[in-house]
Amino acid sequence: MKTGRTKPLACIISAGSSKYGKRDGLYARELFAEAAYEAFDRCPNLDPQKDIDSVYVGQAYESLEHQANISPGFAASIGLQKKPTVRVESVSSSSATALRHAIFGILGGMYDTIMIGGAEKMTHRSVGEAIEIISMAADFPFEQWQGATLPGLCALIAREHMRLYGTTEEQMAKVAVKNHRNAVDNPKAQFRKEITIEEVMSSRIVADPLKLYDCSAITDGASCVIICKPEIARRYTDNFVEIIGTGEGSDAEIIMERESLTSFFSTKKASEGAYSTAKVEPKDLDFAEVHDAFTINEIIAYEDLGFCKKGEGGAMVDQGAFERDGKLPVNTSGGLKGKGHPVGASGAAQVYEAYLQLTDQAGKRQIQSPQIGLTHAMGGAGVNVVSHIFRRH
Amino acid sequence: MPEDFIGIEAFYKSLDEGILLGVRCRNGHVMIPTKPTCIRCNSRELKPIKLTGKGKLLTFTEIFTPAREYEKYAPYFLGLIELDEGCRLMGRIVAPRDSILRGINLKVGSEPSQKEGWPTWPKIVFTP
Ligand SMILES: [Zn+2]
Repeated sequence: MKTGRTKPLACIISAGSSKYGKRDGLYARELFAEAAYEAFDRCPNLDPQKDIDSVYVGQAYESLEHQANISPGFAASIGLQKKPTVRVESVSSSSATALRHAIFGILGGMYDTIMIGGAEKMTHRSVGEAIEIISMAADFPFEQWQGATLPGLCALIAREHMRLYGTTEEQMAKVAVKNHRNAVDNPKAQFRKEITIEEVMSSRIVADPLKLYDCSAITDGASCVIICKPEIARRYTDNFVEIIGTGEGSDAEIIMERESLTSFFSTKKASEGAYSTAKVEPKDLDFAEVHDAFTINEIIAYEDLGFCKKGEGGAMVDQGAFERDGKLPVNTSGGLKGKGHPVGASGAAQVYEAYLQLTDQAGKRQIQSPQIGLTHAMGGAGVNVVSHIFRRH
Repeated sequence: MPEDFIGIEAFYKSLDEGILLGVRCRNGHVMIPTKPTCIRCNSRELKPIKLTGKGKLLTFTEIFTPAREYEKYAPYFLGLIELDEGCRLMGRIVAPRDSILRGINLKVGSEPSQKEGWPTWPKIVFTP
């Protein structure tokens, strides 16, 4: 065991995920049910109606389905109507934020068992509508109104990273290639097809230097996990995962007000919190699921999470350090790039992957006996980040 | 809010009249009035100042997939500039393609947008 010093904050007793992709005719609540049924079926000793105290739901864009107050409908869709529910929104980190606050609910002694999930229904919208809705993550008066889209903001950041550290478009392309390769072995992934560097480089420009294959897709999907206080985990299963670290950080919501464009204070703060509660260092990790809505985000995440020195993220990609058989496998699920990015679900999807890897249920993409893994979920272009650390029981 | 409060609405109203309005806090920090508190020292005492509207391009991108409001401009260049006073601003760059490079001098202007509905804010335009 690499670390055994910390007591778990909470334990994951089950997890589930819908198939990701273009799920015509299925809406968020129905996808949420698909994910929840898998979690229930994995844990037959759990009686959801009796045992689950509350449902915390991550969902990003209420405009997509013209639906506010979405969480009671999610709970009712899985037979948990009348349970306390709440929707948590921090765009791409929504369901990771939901997990963090659910952990607080358990640590505070108010709840014993909580279901955390996320869902987003996106593909029924035209591409133009979707871009506009997704870009609501940027500041309206000073970014969106001035022509910024979310890929546009990440492109401004990418250009600076290229200038300061020599990061190349080929290195960004290699991140996409790696994550698509991993997604081939994930039956839940949207894209189960390898791509080449040439295909990424020749794909159409979205916001220069980011091309279509540098950007995550528009996806329908839902994922969930069920957590409980550590003392009662064994009541439900012997095959549970311990949550040992949690952290959260925010930065200026308008990127022009940041001290740095190429390093995210939010990620640094969130990972400091996660590493220190877990008493774990980057070198102790066996895998990580990081935010890769745009390929540049994954490269910056390597640096801000302490996987390498500042500015060396691109070079580490060239060395294959984060491949599934590399020094530290990153995004074995396929990441947001390969697996798909139903925004509100993505935080929970990362935790679903951590749960599968740490219980040896990841199938063809299983890495050899991992002990410790980290998740890193980011809302907006570096605005709010939530990080968690998990340990094999 | 104080009577002379400069916020988002006042910023854009001034810009429509050709004046780039900033605020200076009691500690001398200059910012675009994106919020009613100084982003550097949290001061609430912000006084209006007229900015020169001159700056240098820090980073830029060419956007091919815009939101609907910008479809008529696409593809277009989006830039982040640092003004002479030290604060930053984002906007669309209108300049010959080959001239758009980090470090070039740009000045802030605006284009009126719709007069009905919300928002009626002008759009920021950077030109050489
Ligand atoms: Zn100040």
